[in-house]
Amino acid sequence: MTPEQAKNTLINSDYPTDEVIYRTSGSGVIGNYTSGNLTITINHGLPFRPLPVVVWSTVADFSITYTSDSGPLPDRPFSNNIGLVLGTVTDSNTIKLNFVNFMSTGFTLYYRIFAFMPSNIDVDIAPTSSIGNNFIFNTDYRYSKLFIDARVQSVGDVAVFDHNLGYIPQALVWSEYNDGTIETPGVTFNSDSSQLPLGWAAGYTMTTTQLRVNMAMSSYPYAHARIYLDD
Amino acid sequence: MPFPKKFTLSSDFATLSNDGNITVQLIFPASVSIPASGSYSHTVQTTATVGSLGAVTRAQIETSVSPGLWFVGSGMQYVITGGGGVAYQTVVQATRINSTQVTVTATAYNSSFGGATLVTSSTAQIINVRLNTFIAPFI
Repeated sequence: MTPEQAKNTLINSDYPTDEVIYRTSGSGVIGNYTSGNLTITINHGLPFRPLPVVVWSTVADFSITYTSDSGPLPDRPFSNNIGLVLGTVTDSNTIKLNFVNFMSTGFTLYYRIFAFMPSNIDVDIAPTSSIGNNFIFNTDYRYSKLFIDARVQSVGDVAVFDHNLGYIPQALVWSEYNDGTIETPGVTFNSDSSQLPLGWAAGYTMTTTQLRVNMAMSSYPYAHARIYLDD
Repeated sequence: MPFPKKFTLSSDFATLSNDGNITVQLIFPASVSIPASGSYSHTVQTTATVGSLGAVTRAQIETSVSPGLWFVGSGMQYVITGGGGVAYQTVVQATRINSTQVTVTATAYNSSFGGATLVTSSTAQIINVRLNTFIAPFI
């Protein structure tokens, strides 16, 4: 079965599904733009630096859900393109969520974090699925089929992942600082001298053959990516 | 105690369920006049219905400035030349506004505060945004 055929399956034993090796959730309170900084530090308890995906919301039922590179529209003119932003940094012990609020009101913020194991790590981990009536796999949904799971060194501030799938696949990307700290793509502007669009998720661009991570700084020598067959 | 990477499929570990996908298109019209007063900007937007309650949205953005190059993320900005050779910024953003809808906006800015009116590019810009949603392993 070719990758293009496999991507249309719900589950495919030729390609691994995502295995979530860590989950946590919580909340915090942030003030308005006059005092609007909140850092939440979570001890992850893992023997390695995980690759986290943060989902957050200003409502407890997560009916409106944001990720690290998105947030509500601003309510004050010329304040910022996004009204409330999140930066996520992971080290060997903690995951730090750094929220900055540009809005006129404060919020109670709710977060959910799940994480993957980096490709250069392979250790025993306790199960994260719940026991009982919850389905891990349900044929009502399609499950992402992992095609590339890699950690690549940047060359000239660019890390390249060649997928050559011939179409635009889905991907998750993280940057690794020179001390091993992992940064999840957030709302920070990055520049690229080759006239590519300036991005606020550290400049990750995808073509039908490559994922390019524009690191912009030599202090980020590695990028991690999970590229899926799914488009 | 299982090693996750030894398994292609494992019921010992939670996973992500893809539940929706859609591609929307915005067209930023040609030669829009943006005064250096008021909002200093011009916005076009569209709203897409995608994903279920609590679903997480991932976006990829392509513009006619760089066709075939998709930006991986919920927002990006690019610089383009308008009337009189003036360079200006356009910001594209995908934002979830309620449990079922995502709004995609493209906003061009006149940064010459108190200065001249900006006329945007004489070529209309086509902006494609792919939205994929998945249910995170918390429900």
